[in-house]
Amino acid sequence: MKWIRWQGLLAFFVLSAVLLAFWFLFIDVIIKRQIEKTGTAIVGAKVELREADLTLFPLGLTLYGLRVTNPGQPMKNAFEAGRIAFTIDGANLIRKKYIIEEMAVEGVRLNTQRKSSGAIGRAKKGKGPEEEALKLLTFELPEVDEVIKKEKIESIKEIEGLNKEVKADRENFEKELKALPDEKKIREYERRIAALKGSRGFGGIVGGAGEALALKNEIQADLKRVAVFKDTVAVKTADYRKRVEAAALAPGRDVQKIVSKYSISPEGLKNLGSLFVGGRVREWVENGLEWREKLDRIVSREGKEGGAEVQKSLRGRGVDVQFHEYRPLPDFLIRKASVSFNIPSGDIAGAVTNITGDQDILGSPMRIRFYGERLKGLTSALLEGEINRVAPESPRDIINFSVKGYRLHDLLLTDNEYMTVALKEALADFDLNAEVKGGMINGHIGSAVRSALTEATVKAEKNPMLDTIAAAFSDVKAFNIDAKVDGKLDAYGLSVSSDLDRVLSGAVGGALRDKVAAFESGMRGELLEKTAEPLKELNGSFKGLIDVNGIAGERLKKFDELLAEAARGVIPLPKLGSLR
Amino acid sequence: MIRTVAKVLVVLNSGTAPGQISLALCLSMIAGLTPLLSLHNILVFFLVLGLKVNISSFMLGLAFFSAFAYALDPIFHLIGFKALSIGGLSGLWTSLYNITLFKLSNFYNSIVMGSLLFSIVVFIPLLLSLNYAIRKYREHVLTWLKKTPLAKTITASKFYEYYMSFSKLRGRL
Repeated sequence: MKWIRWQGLLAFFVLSAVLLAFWFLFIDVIIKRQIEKTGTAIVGAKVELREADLTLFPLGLTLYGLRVTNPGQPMKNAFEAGRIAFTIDGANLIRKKYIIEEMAVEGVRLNTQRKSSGAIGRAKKGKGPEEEALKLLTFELPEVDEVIKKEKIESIKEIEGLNKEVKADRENFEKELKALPDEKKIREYERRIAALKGSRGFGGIVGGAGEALALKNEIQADLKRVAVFKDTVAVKTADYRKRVEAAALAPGRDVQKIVSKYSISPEGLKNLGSLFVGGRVREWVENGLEWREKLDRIVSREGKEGGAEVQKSLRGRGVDVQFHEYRPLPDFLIRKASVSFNIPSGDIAGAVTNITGDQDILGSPMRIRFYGERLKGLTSALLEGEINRVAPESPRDIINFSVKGYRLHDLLLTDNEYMTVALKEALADFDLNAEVKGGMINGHIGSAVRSALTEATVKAEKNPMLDTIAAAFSDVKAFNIDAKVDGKLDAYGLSVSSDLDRVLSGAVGGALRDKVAAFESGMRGELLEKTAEPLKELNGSFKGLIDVNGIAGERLKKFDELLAEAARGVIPLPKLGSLR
Repeated sequence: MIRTVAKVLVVLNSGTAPGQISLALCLSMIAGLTPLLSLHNILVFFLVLGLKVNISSFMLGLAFFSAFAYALDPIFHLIGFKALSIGGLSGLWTSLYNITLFKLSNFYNSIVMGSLLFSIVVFIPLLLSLNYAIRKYREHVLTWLKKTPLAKTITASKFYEYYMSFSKLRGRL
């Protein structure tokens, strides 16, 4: 007993009690800060919470006033939730398993205004493809000379580069041709053959047979050298022929490239309406993919190494090696989150089930379903989705969103530095189906707008083309928009078609086509003039190569004849094919 | 900190049992080398307060070993990861992993496991070595120091007598 310090034991229990009391007093603030910090890191913009309240009996948490900033529009909240309440399984909590059977999310509002910016860094703002495309509609085309000075003319480089190659090869082949057996050598062989044929008597025939064999071998060796050379030159010539033909078309390609950069392509002329609404559709798709990426951070789990699962931690904190659990449970799971939205049309209710980063353990995907009907200014709305990571190596996301009879007010179709087009009033049906699988997206967006009151305002000064477009927009009462999204997630293709195309193309298409044609014609003339001289030089070099090929062919033919002549009667004739 | 060091020196030079000092230092090694907010450290603090070990020595040791711990983390990680990856022990680790108390202890963390294993292995040898060192210090160094003319002069002075009386009085308060 002399080793026991009773006051110390008492101090230990008092200290433990004080620490527990301190924890209980400040845990609400700690939870609030932690939610704000983690949420902000996931969303990439401020996540704020008015209050958090932890209860011990039953063990649960209630959050009040959650605001999640829209990272793309920091002055707006992507959503707000008035109250989020749930109880948590205490027994599993001790095992570090956060299991929430049911969560209630009430008073959710979307796209609300913020008093201060919720950005946490500099917001990304680049010139979108829509603005780039619309710039073309102003048709302030530059002068052809200016464009030629400014742009890299690839065709001239291509022609000059090819000319250098052809010229160098031709010179090399000419040198090699000089080193090959020439006309002099052929005449010498002819003399020797004639001498052999002139041999008389038994002794002459016997002595001549040995010399004839030696002569045959010499001719065969020279024939082989010439044949190899001829083959090499022929292959090169055929290759260069294709490249020279392609080089002759290069100026045309440059013209197309430049024209499409500075003006609208023929396809663009057919899709004028899509040029205006395409940017907005792309924006919606990008927003959707951004939110999918954020959800992905919640439902994706850490990597596995070997048999034991290893969670990567920060330096100095080591790694957590996870072993097989006898009764496996996800580390975090919300089995069901019931959510009620307050939108201007009324309330929409729904639920999100199986929110977890361990879907493979749970064996079920996360599912989303919201439905509302007979609302004010909205006949029906249905959102269904599934985020499936049950087999983490083959993730699959599906979303179906359908809105019928939605009364639109002041929806901006486009707002750029040249003009603004807005739907002041309209009735719209909207359908979206998309699937993301194996890093590929495949989706379709369709919408039908009717009873539309459209307002278009031109910002650019004195631009009759845009004025005509604005007038055409104002007459539009109904239109459809169809969009297809296809391809890799990080480089998907978006094609938008709309019957606005027909309206706008009818209004300004002819005038735009004439302007494009004039610009293209000027550019083609200028480029053809600039490439005429290099093309002439290239053709000259290539002709020289063809000549070398011809000479080699002639020489090969003579050697073939020489060998046949020499072999006639005295020398056994070899198979000519074997020499090639 | 200077005050703590001074207190340790006083204890070292007093008649306090060597075991009280060395056990305090060994316990501080566990608390200092392993992550402080681990379950086993509650037991360490319970022992420090409940047993008559020298608290100043524990505090000084805690500061000393905590400073070392960060530099030794990569080694602890290697030891811990190796131990947790031994095939023959996987059954044991899996059983412990499924027991709530052990799950709370974070034993499956490579640094917790590595540092705890290291501390446990070193505990007894360090305890015995420190006991021996303290005894030898008191036998030789302290005896020699007390015999120096300077120490004799100081201890013989009135000022030292007053200081000792004051210290005893303060100790009782």
